[in-house]
Amino acid sequence: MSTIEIKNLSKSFGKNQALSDVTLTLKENCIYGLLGRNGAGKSTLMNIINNRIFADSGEILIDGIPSRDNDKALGKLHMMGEQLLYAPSLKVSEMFKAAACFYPEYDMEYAMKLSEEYKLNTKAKLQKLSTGYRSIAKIINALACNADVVFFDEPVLGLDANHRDMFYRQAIEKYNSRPATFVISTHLIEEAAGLIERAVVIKDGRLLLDEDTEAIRSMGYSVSGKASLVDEFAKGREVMSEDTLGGLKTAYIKGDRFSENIPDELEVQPLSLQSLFIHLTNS
Amino acid sequence: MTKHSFTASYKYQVRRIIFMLILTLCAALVAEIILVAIANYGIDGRLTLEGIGFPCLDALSGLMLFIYGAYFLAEFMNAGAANGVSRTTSLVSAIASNFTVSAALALFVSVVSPLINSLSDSGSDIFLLEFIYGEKKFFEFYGENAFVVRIRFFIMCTLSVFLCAMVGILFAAAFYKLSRVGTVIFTLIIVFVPAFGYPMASISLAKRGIDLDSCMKKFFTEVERAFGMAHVNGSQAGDFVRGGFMMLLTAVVMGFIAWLIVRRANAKPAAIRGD
Amino acid sequence: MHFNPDGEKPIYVQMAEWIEENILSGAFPEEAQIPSTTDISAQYKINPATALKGMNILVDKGIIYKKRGLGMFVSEGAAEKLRSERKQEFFEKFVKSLMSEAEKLGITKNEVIDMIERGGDK
Repeated sequence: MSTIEIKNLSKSFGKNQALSDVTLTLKENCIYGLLGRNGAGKSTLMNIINNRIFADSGEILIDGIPSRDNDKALGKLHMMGEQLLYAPSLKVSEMFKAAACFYPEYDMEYAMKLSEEYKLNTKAKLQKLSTGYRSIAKIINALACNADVVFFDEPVLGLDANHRDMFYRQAIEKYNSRPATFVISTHLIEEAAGLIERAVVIKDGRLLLDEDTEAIRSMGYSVSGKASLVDEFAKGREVMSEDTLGGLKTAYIKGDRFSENIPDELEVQPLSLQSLFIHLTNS
Repeated sequence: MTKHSFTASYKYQVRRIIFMLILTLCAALVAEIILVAIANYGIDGRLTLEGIGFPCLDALSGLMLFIYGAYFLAEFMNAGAANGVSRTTSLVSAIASNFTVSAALALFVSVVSPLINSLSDSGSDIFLLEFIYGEKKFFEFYGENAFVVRIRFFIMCTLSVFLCAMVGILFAAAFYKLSRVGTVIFTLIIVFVPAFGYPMASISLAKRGIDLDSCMKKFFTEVERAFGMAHVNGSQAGDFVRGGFMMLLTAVVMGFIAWLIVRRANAKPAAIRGD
Repeated sequence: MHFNPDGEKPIYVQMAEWIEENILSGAFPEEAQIPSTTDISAQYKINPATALKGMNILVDKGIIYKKRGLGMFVSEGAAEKLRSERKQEFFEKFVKSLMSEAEKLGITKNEVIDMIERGGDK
């Protein structure tokens, strides 16, 4: 059970300011969704937390201990990254054995069981696997290591619908059997919406949002109806965007629909996490 | 670095190196046996193992560990990064694991090679270390305890192979840290400085009345003296203690430089062929 | 059965209502054990903390109770409690809005009663 405090983290790659002054606390035993557009800085953030690259400024504390180059603190984390950090000629089973060396709570039986479920050939070399199956191998490794905080960088990229479904179920089962913090970065927000308890949204290298998904649901709504009525209602309110179709208009408004007095003639709809995300992160 | 993270890295690394090493040695042994048999058959029509020997097996071991020390460094850094271990821990355990493998290899060289040579009468049992520090037979002849001579040889072999591994690690550390452009520049420097830089410096210094060749000769003589090598002091016996100490010192210095280079290096994943 | 994260009601409310429906239909009889948050969250892929929230609503309402070490069980009289609750909801949701819709369309109360009589016969 570990807490990660991120304080004023900044990182630039040449002229590209990938992260600016990010301050955030990842609490224990929670499933986080790390959301952000392509290039927003999600992978950079996760790589820095996991000591794969180094921040320009700021610090990260794991259970109060500064984590940079600190094996004791870093041993509580594991990251399933996009890159392959093992020798490509290594077999899947050897990758599992290597991780088992480093993570004392590694569950090899569980890794083998999951491999069977996914029909992953553990005797295959990592470089011979398809991209999808390489991801699966890394996912299994991440779930089997039983670390206190597990990061998944786009875990379902390249996975078919059946495998994605399996991953979500297995993640919850693992979370139920051994509570830990999962941080899952994904672009498939609709799919993951039910799974995540808290959403962290990164926009242009900055922290935009860190909220319970329930709370986020009350951050916006849409009203549809006759254009003039919609405009009337939208006056004085923060409108994120609008759609017009003939005389009908839909306005996407920031706020909680339950604390507003919305006229009966207008149709009110809650905003899905995905559409809210899209509106919040459109420049 | 914790006891656990060091031990885990060390175990992983030793397993990886030894596996490759055994593979290579077996392949070399089999190849040698086959080649010698064929050669003998070609010479006088008999399939024997006459003339079999592994001359300079210690030099070969040093070369192998130079290559493997370099070859595995990036993988060890990355595997550490993938499993919550700092670059420092990965490097320190790489030094330890390479030392262990050097000792294992030295044992193989000290024990197996003479065994193979005893398979044939005309086998040669020449080691580079014996050229440099004096032959074992020579010391035994002068009354030194055979056991002591062999242990001493084993230690020197370990240290010299370890030194070769450290050179490999140092090069690999530089390549790991550098970007693609940096790597190219670094390689060009290594290639061109001896090839062009030296002759050019030699010529321009000659104009000022400085003979670079004799300076370099003097420099190398001093290095040989520092390492206690045999023929420098005119005798057939080298200074083992000095030699061993210098090897260890050089290795430690190289390790330290490698650590400075690599301690804050970004994890650099290998490219996957055919992706 | 799939809980819609983007539905009108939050997931935990949807889940609580789903359990209530099953109690009313008899699928979860009184004094019987219902699926745990562990099972429900894994089966329907919803966050376990959310599932727990849904369970707690029902515990607070007295519809289910926790037997230590065993799990959640349906309380005695839960079905009756739910039925009277639903009756009140029926009135609020259907009847009131029926009457306001009728008013909008200019239908009189007697006409509505007539329609109900007709609609009641199949």
